[in-house]
Amino acid sequence: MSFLTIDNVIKQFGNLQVVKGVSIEAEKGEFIVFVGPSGCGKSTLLRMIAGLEETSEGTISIDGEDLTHADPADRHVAMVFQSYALFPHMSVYDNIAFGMQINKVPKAEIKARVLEAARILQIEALLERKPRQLSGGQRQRVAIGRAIVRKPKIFLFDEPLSNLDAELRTQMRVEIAKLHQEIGATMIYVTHDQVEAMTLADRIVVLRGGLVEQVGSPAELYDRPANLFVAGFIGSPRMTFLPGRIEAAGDAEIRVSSSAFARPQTIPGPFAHLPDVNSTVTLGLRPESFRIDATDPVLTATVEITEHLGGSTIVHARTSDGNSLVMATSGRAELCPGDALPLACIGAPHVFDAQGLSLAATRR
Amino acid sequence: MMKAGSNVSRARRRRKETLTGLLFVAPALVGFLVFYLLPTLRAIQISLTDWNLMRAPKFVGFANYTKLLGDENFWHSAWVTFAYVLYNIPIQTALGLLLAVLSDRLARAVSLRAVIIAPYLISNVVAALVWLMMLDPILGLVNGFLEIVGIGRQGFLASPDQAMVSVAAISTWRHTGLTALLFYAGLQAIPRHLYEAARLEGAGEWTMFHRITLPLLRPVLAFVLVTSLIGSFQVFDVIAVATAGGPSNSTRVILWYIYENAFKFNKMGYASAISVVLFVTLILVTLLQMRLLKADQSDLT
Repeated sequence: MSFLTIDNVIKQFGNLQVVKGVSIEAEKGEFIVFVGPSGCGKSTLLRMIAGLEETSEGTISIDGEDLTHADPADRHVAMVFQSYALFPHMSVYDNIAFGMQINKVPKAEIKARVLEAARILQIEALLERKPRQLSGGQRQRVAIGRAIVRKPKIFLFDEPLSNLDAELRTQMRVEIAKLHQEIGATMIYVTHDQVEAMTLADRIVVLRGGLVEQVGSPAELYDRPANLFVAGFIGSPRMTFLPGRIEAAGDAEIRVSSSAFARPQTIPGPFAHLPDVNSTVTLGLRPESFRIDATDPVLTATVEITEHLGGSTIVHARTSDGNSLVMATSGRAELCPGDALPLACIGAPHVFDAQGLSLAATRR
Repeated sequence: MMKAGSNVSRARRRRKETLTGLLFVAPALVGFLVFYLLPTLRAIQISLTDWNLMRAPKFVGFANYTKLLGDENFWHSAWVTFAYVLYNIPIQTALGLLLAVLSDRLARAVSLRAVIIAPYLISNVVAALVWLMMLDPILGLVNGFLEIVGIGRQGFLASPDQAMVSVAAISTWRHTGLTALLFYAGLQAIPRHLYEAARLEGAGEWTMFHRITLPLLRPVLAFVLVTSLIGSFQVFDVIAVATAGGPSNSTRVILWYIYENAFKFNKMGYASAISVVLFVTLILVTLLQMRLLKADQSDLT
């Protein structure tokens, strides 16, 4: 049995089902990220683990103990809220010490643990201040400090960086990753930002509409998205999607044509399932899987916008059949809007059947 | 030349802005001057005279104030008023707070809040009349009930020992809903996440109440205490309807004593002097309260 086992849980609000049967397992010390668009049920799922939301059906167990209906305090989890949820009338010290104070931990031990957490988070100089005297990043640290001193079995983060500006968000992201390395605790992290998910997670759980779309390491999700949704959601800039048609299908390889392509492309197997010949499919290509090839182009697009990031360039273009295409290239491409962009593909495109399921994935 | 010209136009513009500003505050300013400041100054002026409304007022200096110090009836009325405040405020505040917290944590239904606030929609005079009938020693509903359960009939408003407590109970009944509603509004300003964070740490309802709710409610608490205290010191209409200061002066509060002096004994100067003393006392009490409760500071901003 895993350290955290979520088995087929359902959350019902009246007639509305927000979480529709989700099963997830996490090992001790793992960093799991729940990612998905707003309303996908990721925060609700996190709050169910914390015990702040009642679980309608299914079970949640931590460290071998069934805690589905346990009181939040008995679950040994700590949560960092998006709004930080710091007590505004208490000093930073008291905020961090609060849980230990009400649980009658000896004063000397409280002090030692608060100072230790403050040292890890570099907020020793702020202990006497009130939350309103702190910056957003400092408040975030205090909120994390309050979680650390509890020595919880699981850390829960509910979109903790959403209220910070872009630069600080990047910085805190690195610090949370460092913190995970340093204390090695199990962490569950909710975000709608796929970059946070990709950079922090050992494993990512992609949720949509209360269901798990795919679970896997960041690399797995990026390289082998199970369906169109995951393919489009993970990765920035987004994957380019082109319409396709199956010319021939066999276990070893399939041939697809596209109105955007100059000639059919061969995609090597193995495949988990095969589409019918002549059926329509969607082809997915990552921004870095295009290269400029004027001698023997597979497709030709027209440049619309180029974004120069210094070390690399992102090109937004439109294919001859009218689909938008994004290419990323290292270095500086000297392209102007309206220029013809002859492209070849590096590697084979991802192929998704009419139901949006990747041919590499098993049918549900 | 240019500089002088721009200075003139700037001064003109500023004068125009001041005028506009004054126009905006004019309605409130006129109300304050006519209904508050002028009567106050006039009361101070009258308090220095002997005036029975028939003859012209005669200046007597501080004679009314020195007389006040030795007036047993005045001290008695001050004591009765203080007792009223003592019965009224703690119970009303605690009950209001309890109702607010309960309806916030358990049942956040609009209909429930409507029921809680209902007594406040009745005027003091009507409330006093209703309770006067309910508490009647012979015909009253309450005494009928008490007899059935075996406690026996009580004097209530007709008993010198129970009249003040009864008046305080009527006021509490009428005002608790308002107090509860004010606290309820204050509770809405406290973020829910604070309670969730506390619950995760193992805090029970009582811990959350006194470690989170109460400290964060302090500005509302200060407002409620200041306004209800001032209101209690000025209790008049319930007394006028229910007891008229009796029985045996047991409910002769300061305002009733002022009223008697002014309109029964025609001692306008003396009545004004008591009013001024009450006025100064209330200002001091209010300042002290605001200071103690740090009413001007909120943690929730």
